[in-house]
Amino acid sequence: MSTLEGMGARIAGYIDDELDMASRDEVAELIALEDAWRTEHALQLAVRDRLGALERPALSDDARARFSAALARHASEDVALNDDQVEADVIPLPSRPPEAEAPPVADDAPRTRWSLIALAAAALLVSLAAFYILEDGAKGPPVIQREALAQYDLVKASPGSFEEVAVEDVSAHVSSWGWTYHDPKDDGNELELLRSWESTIRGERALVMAFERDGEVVVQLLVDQDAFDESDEIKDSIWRTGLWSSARAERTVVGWHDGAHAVMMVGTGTPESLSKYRPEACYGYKKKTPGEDT
Amino acid sequence: MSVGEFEELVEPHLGGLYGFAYKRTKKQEDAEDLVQDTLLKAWDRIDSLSDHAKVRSWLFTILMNMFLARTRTSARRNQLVPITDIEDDFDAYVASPIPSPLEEVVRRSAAQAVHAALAKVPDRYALAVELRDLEGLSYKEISSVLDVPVGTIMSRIARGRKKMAALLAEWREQPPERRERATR
Repeated sequence: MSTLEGMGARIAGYIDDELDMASRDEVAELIALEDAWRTEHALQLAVRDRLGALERPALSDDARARFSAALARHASEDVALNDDQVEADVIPLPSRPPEAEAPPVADDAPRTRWSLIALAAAALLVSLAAFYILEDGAKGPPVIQREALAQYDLVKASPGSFEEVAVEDVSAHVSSWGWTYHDPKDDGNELELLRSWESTIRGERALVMAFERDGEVVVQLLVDQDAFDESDEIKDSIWRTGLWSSARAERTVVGWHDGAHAVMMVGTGTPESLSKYRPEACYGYKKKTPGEDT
Repeated sequence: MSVGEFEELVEPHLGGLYGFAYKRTKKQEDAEDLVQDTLLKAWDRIDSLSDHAKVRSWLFTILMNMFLARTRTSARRNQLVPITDIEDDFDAYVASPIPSPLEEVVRRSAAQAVHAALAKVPDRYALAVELRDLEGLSYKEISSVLDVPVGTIMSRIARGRKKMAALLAEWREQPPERRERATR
């Protein structure tokens, strides 16, 4: 949470009398001293007062009588509603798509050349499944996208060290939501956009951008900062698939997980607004060669 | 607990539950159905409510979950508004000298504009703001209903209110015919 956002939250708490005495005094002092906080305080107060003054829809006496009758009937019949009507999570999350699961291998399968091929295919499937695990389903033409990615050996994710990032001039120009443009010859870097597409990650909108660098695929997933902060599922899926996340990626250096094949970038705003940061962000990645000392 | 005692316990909160349900469903019949189902479910589970002082947040939680269960397949409203754009607008309004202070714009906004603005605020912020500013729940109660920490509630309320202010200012600057369309 930035200082600005943090102060906004504290002002909300101050207005609603939800702060302890010490915090209250501190916020009162800041509001008195700073024009920006005074403005924020006045606006939040105005919105609260205006909402509070709205006329509320009134519950009719008829409805109250119906409730009472229904309750009496329900209590006498001892009829319970189905539990599944109310057991929803507060934030409903989509289930993992079936594609994420590797196909089962029969225990008694003979160890033939064909089984080795099947294992290789399964390994490739597991690599690609990382995308499916993260994405709830790409909205573009997924077959073409995955064919493009399948040309490359995706590095198997494994927990471990991560190295510093070499910040370079990567001027990826975003022309519109869902598609980016980048010509490596223009700025001399070696990062080339393969594909980008709109998707969702655990129910949150995301922009996925697949780049090639030194023969490897770098996948960036851009999501809203709030979505990242508030979704344990997104965080879990990052660690399960070996992604390295970077908060405030639009402004700061990104850490690169050793062996990871993708990076998630989060920032404040929708994915399309995040993608607008890229022209100024200017950061790239230097993949660590296994065994190389830094 | 008898039915009469139960009714006595929940009665003070029926208006709030209905107002909140109406805001979510937009239809009187649907809102009434939602409140009625909430009451029936609450009756079934009344033994699980150990502290009757928490009955309000408990009822809102049941109502919220029932509503989400019914609408889990529908499109999420928070995908409709470009959040950063709104915040940029807010910052721009605050930074630039406009004819009348923004808080005055907010205070004098017509009810239809306030409803229209609230409908445009993404759910994760609107829910917190509505539960606080319309229903009067405490941060702790909202935290219980939405199942997120109090600090997050505080942040969501602040951001929700800022978005409301920006949307109301934006609405005011629109020509009358566009305002008409926006509130339909």
